[in-house]
Amino acid sequence: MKKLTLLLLVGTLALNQLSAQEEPVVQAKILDDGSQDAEKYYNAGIEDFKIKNFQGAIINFNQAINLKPDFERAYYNRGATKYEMKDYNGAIGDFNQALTLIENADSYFSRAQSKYALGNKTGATEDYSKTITIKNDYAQAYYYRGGIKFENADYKGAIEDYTNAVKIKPDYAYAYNDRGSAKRQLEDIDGAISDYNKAIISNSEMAFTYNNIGSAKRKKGDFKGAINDYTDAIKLQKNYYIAYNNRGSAKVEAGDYAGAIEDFTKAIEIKKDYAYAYNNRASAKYKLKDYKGAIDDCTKAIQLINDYGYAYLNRGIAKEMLRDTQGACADWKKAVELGIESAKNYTGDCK
Amino acid sequence: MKKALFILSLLFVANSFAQNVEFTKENFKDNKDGLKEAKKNLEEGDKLFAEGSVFYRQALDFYLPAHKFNPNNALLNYKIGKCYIYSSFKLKSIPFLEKAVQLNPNVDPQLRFILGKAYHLDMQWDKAIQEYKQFQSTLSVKEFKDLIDEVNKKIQECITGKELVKNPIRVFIDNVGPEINSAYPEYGPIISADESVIMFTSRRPGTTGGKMDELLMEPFEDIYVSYNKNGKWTQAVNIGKPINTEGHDATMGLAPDGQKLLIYIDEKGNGNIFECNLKGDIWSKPERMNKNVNTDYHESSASLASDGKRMFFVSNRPDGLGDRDIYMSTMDEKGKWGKAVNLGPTINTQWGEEGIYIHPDGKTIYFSSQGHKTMGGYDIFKSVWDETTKTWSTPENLGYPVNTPDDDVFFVVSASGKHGYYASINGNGYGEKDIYLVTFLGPEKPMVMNNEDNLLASQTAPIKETVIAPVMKIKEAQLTILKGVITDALTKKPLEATIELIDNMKNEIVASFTSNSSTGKYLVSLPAGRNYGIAVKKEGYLFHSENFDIPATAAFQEVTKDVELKNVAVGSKIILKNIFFDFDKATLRPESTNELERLTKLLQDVPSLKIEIGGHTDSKGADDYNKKLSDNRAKAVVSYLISKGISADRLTSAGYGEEQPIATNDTDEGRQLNRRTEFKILSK
Repeated sequence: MKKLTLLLLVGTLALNQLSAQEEPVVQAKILDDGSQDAEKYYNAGIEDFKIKNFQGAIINFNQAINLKPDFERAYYNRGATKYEMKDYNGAIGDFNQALTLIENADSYFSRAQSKYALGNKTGATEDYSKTITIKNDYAQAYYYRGGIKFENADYKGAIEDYTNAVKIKPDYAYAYNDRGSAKRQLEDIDGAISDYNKAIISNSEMAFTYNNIGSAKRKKGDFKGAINDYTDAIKLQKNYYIAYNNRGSAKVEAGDYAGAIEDFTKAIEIKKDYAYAYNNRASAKYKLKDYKGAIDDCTKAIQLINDYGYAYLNRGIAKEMLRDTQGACADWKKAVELGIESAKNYTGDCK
Repeated sequence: MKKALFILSLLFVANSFAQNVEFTKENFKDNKDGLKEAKKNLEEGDKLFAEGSVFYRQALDFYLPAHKFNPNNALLNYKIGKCYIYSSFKLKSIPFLEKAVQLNPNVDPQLRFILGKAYHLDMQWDKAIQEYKQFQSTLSVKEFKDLIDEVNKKIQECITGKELVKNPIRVFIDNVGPEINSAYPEYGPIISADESVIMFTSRRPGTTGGKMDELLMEPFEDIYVSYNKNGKWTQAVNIGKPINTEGHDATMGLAPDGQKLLIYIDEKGNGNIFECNLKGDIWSKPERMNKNVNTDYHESSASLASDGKRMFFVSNRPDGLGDRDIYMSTMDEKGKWGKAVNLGPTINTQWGEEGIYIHPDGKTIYFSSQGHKTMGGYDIFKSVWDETTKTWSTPENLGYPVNTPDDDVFFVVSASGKHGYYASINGNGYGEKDIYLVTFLGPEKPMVMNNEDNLLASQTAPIKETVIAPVMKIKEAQLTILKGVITDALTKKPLEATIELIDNMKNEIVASFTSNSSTGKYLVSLPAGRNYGIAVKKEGYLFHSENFDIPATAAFQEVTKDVELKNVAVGSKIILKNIFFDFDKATLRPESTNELERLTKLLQDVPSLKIEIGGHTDSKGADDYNKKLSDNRAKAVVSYLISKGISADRLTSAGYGEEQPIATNDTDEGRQLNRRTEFKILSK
């Protein structure tokens, strides 16, 4: 009897490309087995999965289940495959099946990922919690539950989960990054910077973390420091348009308007429809008294995002300087309509 | 050896002045005729120069040809520089003064000081400070004592100027256009509160009487007027007689409603304030204001407060704190202007104050001063009266570019606080002094940038930063301008009526105005923070009342309210807008007193009049209840009138409840209009 090496596709399947940088997608485990056909199909399915032949994988997992209806791992892997195919409902069905057979932490975790993908954050949170109940050192479950709390603006709760994640996995760079972000949302900027730095100690290749440090420093008014961090982020990721846009903003705040325009222009080169960079470039042009250029940039931003309230607000400000009072008023009124409260400060004088 | 060195150094010194060329035969052997003419020009120029700064401009006509003949004479360069400093083209002095320094820095002890002034005017702050300090170092002990304050002040002005220029205020400065400005000097603009009228002084050909001021060889000053029609100024016209005379007639102040004009008349060197009133479209003959206001000294600027009861003016009478000071006079109950009071040391300094203007809000003054923190010459300052502490706020420099190192004087501000008008010389004008409009843009409006970050490592989607645009506090003029036209309800003809402004809480008449007899136009300023009753009255007509409750925090607004006055006729109905009751009760509130007194007076004046007082409610609450409430309220008014001696058989009361709405009951505004007390004439 030949020993079969089974590759078990654990919940990490659900990780997206960003997380793929951080840890191996596939975790290998060797299981004992028999020599039945079901297992053969099962292994063939795994091979298909590895070469991204998901259709083939499904057929093989189906066969395995047909032959062995209580094949819990086959349900699980079919669920994982469906997840990859973005058939989240199908995936949940398979994880349900697996769970009726064996209450497994991975199944709960993967079902949580699928529910999250369907936008069911409550269901996902419940499943992450069950994962943790079964396996209290499941760092990723803490991490992802923390992510949902973050999205729900429960930053304190998020920080607790991230803290548990890094306790279990002290080199968990993502968890440090995200805890830093949660602290930043709570205006604990120093705490945020400290966490971002820890993330970088664990993984110095994360461009977004450098970007986040830059933004935290901007919040503190340390524009020079911010510019350096954004520059590091760009070095790691050449097409990082977000970091260009941010560095441009930091340059505006530091009074380097010409440098800012270069950065915004670069961001636009990388991402042609990046409305924010157009809008922000307008503010640098405004500072250089290029009001016409500012208006053009705002107009472009509005073309890209029709309900872009701030671009209307800014365009009004530039129009005022060109003595186009009526045009300025029309823009400010539109900004108010789009929910920009501060524009009300300006509409008072409009006829 | 020593001797040789000495000679050498002497030669060296002499050499450094060698460029200075005197107007001598030796220097111009080849051009005797030219020298003769140049010397003649010098002589003529010197005569005018000696007459004082008023004649400097004419001196230049002789000095400049002489300079053309010999550009390298230190003294002539100095004199030309000095003449320019006192002209309209002050910056032209700089190359001449610099040349004078180069040719002979000791040509005149004042040279460094004058050059310092020239740099100062050109905003070359550091160079100016250097020259001032250089001048200081050359002074003898006695001169030093006399001049130290002045020179130190100049240095301080440069320091202030540097700071103000670094943080300019945001304004548009626009020439008001060729309808008002000409190639000749225009200055002293004054406006009505709503900017519908502008008057100014000009020295242009076509002056009344057509004579020239022989002293300056310029036409005499006259007053001109222009009107704002659909956002454009009409062609300015000479306001004519009786205001303009053959001599100097200059603007000083215009009442916010444009119906009263204060002018300056020079009476043998003793400037005085005269008052003119507009009746229909005819101005009354200027009348000299009384001796509390006018003295044997020089009264040079004046402004009327919006209540018409306070006047601010500038005088150099000897009891002041400095050169010229600002004074205030208050009108007594008989309509006589009272003793002038010096505004005190917060406003007046040991230096000159000039160009007073009181804003229609009744509490903000704009004035020019050589003291306080100026950046040179007169700067325009602003100060606000605090009614609770009875003090003026520390004067605040209006900032650059409204203020400049030169004299900035006679600044008026519209009721909205958004516009200012003043005269200035700059390269963009139509010639000489022109009138400019300053549009205040307020603090810079910050543009909002948007950014996003990859806050969550597990998410590829960036998270947008929530940017909250900073909320700016906009300083607004806190007053309401109420204006409109008063007409006869039947014939629609304009009426000259009296408009009384009542502070309902204090129950006193704050001010009283008259609408223009030919246009029916009126304008009143209502400073924020009071509950105003407004009564429009005319004999033979029923009075009309309005109520304006303007909280202290209210922003500037302009309200147009046309009023039609009704004849005393049977069936005429008037709403009494200043009668107030306690909530849900029929108790008259004390704020109603003035209106009730007006009603009493009407009944006393027309003894045959029989009226009905009608109470009305809005539709809230039960019908019966409303009817009862309105009936009781009408009765309360009737009881008041009876208590004042009006015979009960002339008075009827009726409670209409919600039966006769005059507006919708679906909105707060509508319901407020429906809750009202009316009176109706039953017979006369």
